[in-house]
Amino acid sequence: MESRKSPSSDGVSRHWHDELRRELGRRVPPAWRDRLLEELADHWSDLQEETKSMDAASPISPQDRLGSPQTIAAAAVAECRKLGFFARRPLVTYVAGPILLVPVAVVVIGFAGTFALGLALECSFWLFGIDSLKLSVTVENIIAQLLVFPLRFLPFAFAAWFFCRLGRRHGRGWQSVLAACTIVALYALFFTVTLTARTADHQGLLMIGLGIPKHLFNFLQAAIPLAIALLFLRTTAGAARRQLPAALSQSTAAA
Amino acid sequence: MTRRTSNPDFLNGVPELLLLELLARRAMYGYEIVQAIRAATAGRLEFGEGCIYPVLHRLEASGGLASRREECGGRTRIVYRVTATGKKRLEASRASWRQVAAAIEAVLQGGSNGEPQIAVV
Repeated sequence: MESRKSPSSDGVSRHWHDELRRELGRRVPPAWRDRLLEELADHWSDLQEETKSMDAASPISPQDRLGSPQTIAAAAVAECRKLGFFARRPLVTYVAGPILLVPVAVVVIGFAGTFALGLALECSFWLFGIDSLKLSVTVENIIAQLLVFPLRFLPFAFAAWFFCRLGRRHGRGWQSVLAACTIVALYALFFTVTLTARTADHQGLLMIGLGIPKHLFNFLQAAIPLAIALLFLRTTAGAARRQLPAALSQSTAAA
Repeated sequence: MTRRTSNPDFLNGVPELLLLELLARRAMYGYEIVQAIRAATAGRLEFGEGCIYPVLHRLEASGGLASRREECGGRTRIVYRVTATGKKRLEASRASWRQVAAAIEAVLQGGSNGEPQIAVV
């Protein structure tokens, strides 16, 4: 069995982490790599504190307790491979995924949601003894506008939130999340909802589809998924930036 | 001073059960989990402590664990807890482990033909 001797714990910590970073390379998603390095740096400083609190004969160094960078990198790659199909195929998940998911989200959340809201409204009319057939055309049109309004935003907000969450669970970097949310935003930009108000003589008309953006609403629709993505990336990246250097400096300070 | 290497047995399946079992009792961060494993097994399992993190990350990615950052003594730790999915998986892992242990015990005790498989010297 070999024993490790090193010029200083600080140097060993840096060298060990650099070696692990090299070993991990591009074999695991970047967010997984950063998180692993951050947690190991924190663990390293815990081990150093533990060693200091024991007597001088305490034999095992942090690098020996943690394992070699090669072993940890191999474990990380092996665990990553055990993940499902979507976690290992970012192009399918974050490019093809939103292309397919957004129309589904519009149908499910948009139509089902609008139908459910309408049904709830009818039920509340019935509960309060309001005859919906006797409502004025203006009130009916206002209710219709209110029911249709969420259709402009909810499916896209949901899709963006879904891919942000998926990105975090899969340990993907900002590129995947931003790519998915940009596709969602493009859908939102071209998504048009036109509700023609009902008159005494004519029925109302609801038209939904994709078209050249002409209204401010289209840009607001597109801004929602992008804002969700940026907010998510800012939160995650900020946390990672703060934690890794802090953990490394704690690790070296404890040395 | 001996250099520890990861115990292959630890890496080949037991960790998921151990981690889920310990985290089902209370939420913990990595170093705490290692201490809990040592305490629970009286230090009989030897493994590279760093190897628990990839398992934790995979369990989290598959929905068995959830994590959050918590301030502890001026440091921010990533604390893990078991989710409802993780609890279900833990039940399945426990049952599976008991079956395997019972099967191996049966073999060690002589199996169905009653012949001892292990000679006692």
